[in-house]
Amino acid sequence: MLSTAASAWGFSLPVIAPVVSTIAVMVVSAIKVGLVMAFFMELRSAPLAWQLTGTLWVAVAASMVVTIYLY
Amino acid sequence: MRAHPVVGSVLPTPRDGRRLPGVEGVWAFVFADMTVFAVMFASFMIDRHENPALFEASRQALSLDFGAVNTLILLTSSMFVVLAIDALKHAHPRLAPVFFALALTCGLAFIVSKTLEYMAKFDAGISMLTNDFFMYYFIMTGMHLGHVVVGNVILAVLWFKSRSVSASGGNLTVYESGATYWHMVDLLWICLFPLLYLVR
Repeated sequence: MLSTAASAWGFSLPVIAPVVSTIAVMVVSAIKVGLVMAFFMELRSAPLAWQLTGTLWVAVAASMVVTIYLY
Repeated sequence: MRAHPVVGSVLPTPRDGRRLPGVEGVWAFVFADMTVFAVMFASFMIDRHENPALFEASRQALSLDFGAVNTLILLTSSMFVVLAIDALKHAHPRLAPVFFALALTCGLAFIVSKTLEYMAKFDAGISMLTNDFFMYYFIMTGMHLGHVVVGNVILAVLWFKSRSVSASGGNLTVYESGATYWHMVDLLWICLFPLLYLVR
């Protein structure tokens, strides 16, 4: 909840450079998605294959968005 | 054959101590659905890369407050679902319908909030035909809203079922599968919110 508030109103301040703000927002989002998967969806105690699938999805989605943004 | 855990029971633990909540089919659907959205995220970013000025100007027409509040609503709703499942697992089934009802209330609040946001856009003369950014905005948030509506139906069914569950009966797998779907809805919004509202 705090990270959402920080992402929405903190990182969007005009004094922060757009690239820095965007990367920070994407990193925070990736961490939030990872936490939702691990603790809300209980993937932390799931079989390794499912756990890896979840981690892979977060890693691929986040890196894809950041790479296209920076390219 | 896989034994289904029941409400209030000690969950069966496989030899390696790891257990997937719900049924595997729901997880396969969840990852397939999330992959479809990931492709849309990539498509959005590629088009944004080609016309950053248009996308940035359009992004500024969105209400950051609506987006952030919607995120908080869905996170709160997911937390209530976690508490409901926890109540069922730990033999407190009387608490489960209360938490499912609270989660459902949050889900309905999201629909109301999103509808108000859409209405504000339409009143300002913005539609999915306005430009590429708003085409993505309406398609991605519209598809997500469809998932929220389905999720609300699932939460309503779980709420109804959990009202009649006893401390020693009921199939926990059904509840876990529904919860997994709802968490996916939350998770997708966590991705959509920064992509549409925050990427500068």
